[in-house]
Amino acid sequence: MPHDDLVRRFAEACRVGDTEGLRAILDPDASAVCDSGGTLPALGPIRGADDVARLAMALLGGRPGTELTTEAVNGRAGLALRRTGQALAVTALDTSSAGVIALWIIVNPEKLRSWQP
Amino acid sequence: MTTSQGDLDDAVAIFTSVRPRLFGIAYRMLSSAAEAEDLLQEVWVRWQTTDRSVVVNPGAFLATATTRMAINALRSARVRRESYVGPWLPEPVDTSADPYLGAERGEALEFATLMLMEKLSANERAAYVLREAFDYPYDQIAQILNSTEPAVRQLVSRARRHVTEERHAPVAADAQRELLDAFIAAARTGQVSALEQLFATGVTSFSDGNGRVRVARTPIVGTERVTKFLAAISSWFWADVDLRFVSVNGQTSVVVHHGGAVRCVFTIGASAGGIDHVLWMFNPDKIGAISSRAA
Repeated sequence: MPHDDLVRRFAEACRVGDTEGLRAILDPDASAVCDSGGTLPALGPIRGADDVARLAMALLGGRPGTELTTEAVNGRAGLALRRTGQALAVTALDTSSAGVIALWIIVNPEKLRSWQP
Repeated sequence: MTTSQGDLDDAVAIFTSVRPRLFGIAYRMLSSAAEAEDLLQEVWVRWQTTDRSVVVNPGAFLATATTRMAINALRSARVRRESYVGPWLPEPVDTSADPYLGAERGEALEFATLMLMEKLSANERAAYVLREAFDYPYDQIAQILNSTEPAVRQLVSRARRHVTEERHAPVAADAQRELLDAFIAAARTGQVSALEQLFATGVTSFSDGNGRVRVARTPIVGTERVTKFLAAISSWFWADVDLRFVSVNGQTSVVVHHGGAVRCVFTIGASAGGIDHVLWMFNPDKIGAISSRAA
């Protein structure tokens, strides 16, 4: 499946809280890294579709009042999570024909300045 | 040096005109928009205080200053990042808000590449960025890096190998088989859109034809050309063939039988971006060994 379609499906699964659907479009060997700059308890890189799906859902999944949109992150389709316009997280994804293989989730507010209104 | 208002206006105009490119260099070097902005401030100060009357090529001067300062900035940033709390990632940029960064010069910008570039030395990274993203000639990169052309070619090829090899780690056997099936289905119809979806950028079709007619002798490179080639042969190549699958080194190949004889053997190689090469063996001497295993 092309990158853009995978990212759209990823976003939709997050919006509706469908962890199983999320897992289905992840490569079995997918990995996730989250940069919070110390604002969240430090998480090492996460590996494997199950853990990555749970982490993505916890960070990006259907929280009330938030909006998850597909946006151009470093030249490719990525995701921005916002609450009342304020960016909470920006995510870049790498995909293969088999699914999403890498998630880079940035929640460090210092690195989200250019994403604020 | 005399500074008039006219001088300063010129200095501002020149700097503004090349600023997007300088930012593009600095961001790719530092993976941080904030640090790239700070660096450009320093470059501006340097430009303001330089005797500009002796600068022959302001664009080259400013690109050189930016690159050299970025190499130093990257070295100190790396030291700082050692004490960063938790995993460190690049600062993401909204490329829809910056058309220059996004559309005109998209190379070496995506996250996967930025992450891989973190493992390059500062000089390797600079050479790679100038070459891949901005198409600088090698001799000019050599001047910027105070180096020689052969040394720069080495830097770029080492960096390229590192970035592409990791990025193009081959896919697992079952994924390769799946893509191979999809490839056959799409190639049989000759449908351009279906084929395009399967290919990585720069996909290459290699044929070993041993002089046989209707086989491309030189490699065909690029999605558009490979697709066109497959569409062109689809009308005859797949008619009345019998396909048998054989596993070689964990990758599946296809033996194409036609009228009781082996016509050819082909396979695909794929990485994260999709199919990146197609191999066709028409040479009877070479296919004998493989086809005998596909009973």
